[in-house]
Amino acid sequence: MSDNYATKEEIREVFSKLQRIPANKTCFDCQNKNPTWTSVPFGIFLCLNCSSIHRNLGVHISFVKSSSLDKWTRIQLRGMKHGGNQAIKEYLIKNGGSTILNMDSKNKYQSKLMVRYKDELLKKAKKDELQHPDHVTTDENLIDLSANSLTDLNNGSNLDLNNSASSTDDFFSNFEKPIVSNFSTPSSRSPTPQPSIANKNNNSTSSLSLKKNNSSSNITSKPITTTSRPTIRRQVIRNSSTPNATKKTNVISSSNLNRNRKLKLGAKKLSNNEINFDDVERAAKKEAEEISKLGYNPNNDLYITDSHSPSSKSNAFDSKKEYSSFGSNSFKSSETTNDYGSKSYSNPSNSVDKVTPKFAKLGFGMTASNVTSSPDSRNKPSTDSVKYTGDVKEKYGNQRAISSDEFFGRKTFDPELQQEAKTKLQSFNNATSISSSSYFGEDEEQNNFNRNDYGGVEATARDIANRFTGNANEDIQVLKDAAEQATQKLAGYLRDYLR
Amino acid sequence: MGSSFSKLFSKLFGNREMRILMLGLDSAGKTTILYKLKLNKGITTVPTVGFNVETVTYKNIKFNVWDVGGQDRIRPLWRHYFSGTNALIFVIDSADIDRIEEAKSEMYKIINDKEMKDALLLVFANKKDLPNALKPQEITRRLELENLKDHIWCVVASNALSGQGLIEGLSWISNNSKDSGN
Repeated sequence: MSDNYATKEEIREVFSKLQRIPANKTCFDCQNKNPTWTSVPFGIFLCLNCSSIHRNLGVHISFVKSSSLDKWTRIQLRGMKHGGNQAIKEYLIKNGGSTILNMDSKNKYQSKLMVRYKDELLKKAKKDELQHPDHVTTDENLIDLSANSLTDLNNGSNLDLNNSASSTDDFFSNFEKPIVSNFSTPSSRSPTPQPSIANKNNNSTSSLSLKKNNSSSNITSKPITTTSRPTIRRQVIRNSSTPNATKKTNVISSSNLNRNRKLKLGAKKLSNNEINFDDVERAAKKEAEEISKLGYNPNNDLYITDSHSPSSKSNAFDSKKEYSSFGSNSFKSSETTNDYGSKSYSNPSNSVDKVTPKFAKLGFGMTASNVTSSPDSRNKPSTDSVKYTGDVKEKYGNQRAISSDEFFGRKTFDPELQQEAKTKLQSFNNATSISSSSYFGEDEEQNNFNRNDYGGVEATARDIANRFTGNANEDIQVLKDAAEQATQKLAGYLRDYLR
Repeated sequence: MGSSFSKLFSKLFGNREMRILMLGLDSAGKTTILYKLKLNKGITTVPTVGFNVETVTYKNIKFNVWDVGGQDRIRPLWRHYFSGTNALIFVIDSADIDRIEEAKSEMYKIINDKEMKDALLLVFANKKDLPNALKPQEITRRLELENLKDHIWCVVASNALSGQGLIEGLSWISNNSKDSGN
């Protein structure tokens, strides 16, 4: 389970590295310097004050931990490693949720996009766990990634621009390169027969190799691949004969963790039209027309693929609704699960509507069902995503019916007793409080006999006192004072004596 | 006989004092409970590093409530607050289902300490207003309080922000406490 705790050294190492990253040196919510608190599910760094806001949200939304005062499980550390203030910001911007950054915390962290990010981060952490099961690596990539992210943004996008402008063929060959290399590495590494695990492994390793590739030689290849992602993925899925093909695409989509987001933004806007067209032509001439409509706004491609994620095939109508709600920018009110799509893009909603059903048909369902969870699971059959929700269900739904003893395999007492306890507890079904005396009934009464006795004496004494008070209030007051003093003395004496 | 009279009198007129230790996992709501009791306000708290102590008078009992931070690393410090404690208030975030088990192990660590053997155990199943918060019944079962016979215990569902359940808990403590002299 994910419950194995990281050692102190590990925690310190991870955080010392993470906190060196410039973006993590300011609080995600308020820009205070050097935050030491974190929201674990979002992988962000917060200052003490903002952590209190997060605590008030409840653990189902955000869960606060101190980077120095808390124990961390490995999986949480992995989440932090893949998270960070920069990553989430980029994610939001990429997905058109930059307005979310300015919302108040309650809405901010409950917005669909944020929830989706949370899921994706968890997936990444799990992937990382498969990759490095024994320890949390704070590999150089991590620092490199974030350190380079800004420079890469500049260099990368420039290069990218040049490249795409000058030769689109070149781009395509570039595109092929990382895929091939990626694919070769993972296949040699993971001979696991189980498809899902194998995929995960592949993704994680390959994403690493991608990074390496990029940092060393072809920086351009990555942004390009990402920009062309939607179309190409579609193509592959269409042709989906080999699992390899889907794997490849998977790699592409999952590889853009941190810096790609920015790169994408920069790169896409300027270069995407041409690239998309090219790809589309190659991929599917029929759809090319449709896509070209969208192609003008590259972001839309992404959005559309995303927006249909949960239930792409059947929900064309839903998505229409969403779009209309998007127009009004109402993140709060949009309750449909699909509402990322809305993102306040100024789409001509007509064209989007037209296109949506087609996209759904195209087998984006595969991506669709997984978008909520993570990009790497895109090529998994949709049942996997069902499994995922099953996990959650198991945690939050069914577990209620599973006793902790059964659950953790502890057999501290036999089932009969347990049954008895259960039936006993049943009687407290709607009680707001349960005490041991009421629970154990009579035996407790015997134990409490003395105490109850005093209670009775007290009551009668009070009665008497009350009777007197009616007649001689002042007298009783005086008497009371005297008695109080006497008792205090006596009590003090007794206390000393008894000790 | 004399002592019983003094007890009677002190119960009647004297101000008893009780030392109450409030513990629980981080962000369970301990500090919020403390200041709800003290100020009758639901304040926004920051994580407690160290402790807060307030005196809360209820009926004629002075409760000295110690609220100690619950972060993992400072839990080992809890035991320094054990001695002379009349009642332990253990606060649980009843919506934090994942960490009930952790809370349970921490709770048993506390009450199995010999300095805490006479302490009452009051469990606040806090944040009962949250969705999927566990019922006190469920908390009782998860904490295996059914098997806990050497402590007097009570589980009260509470909401620290609105104050529901807090007074109920305190009055349970005052009703079940032995007299302060002992």
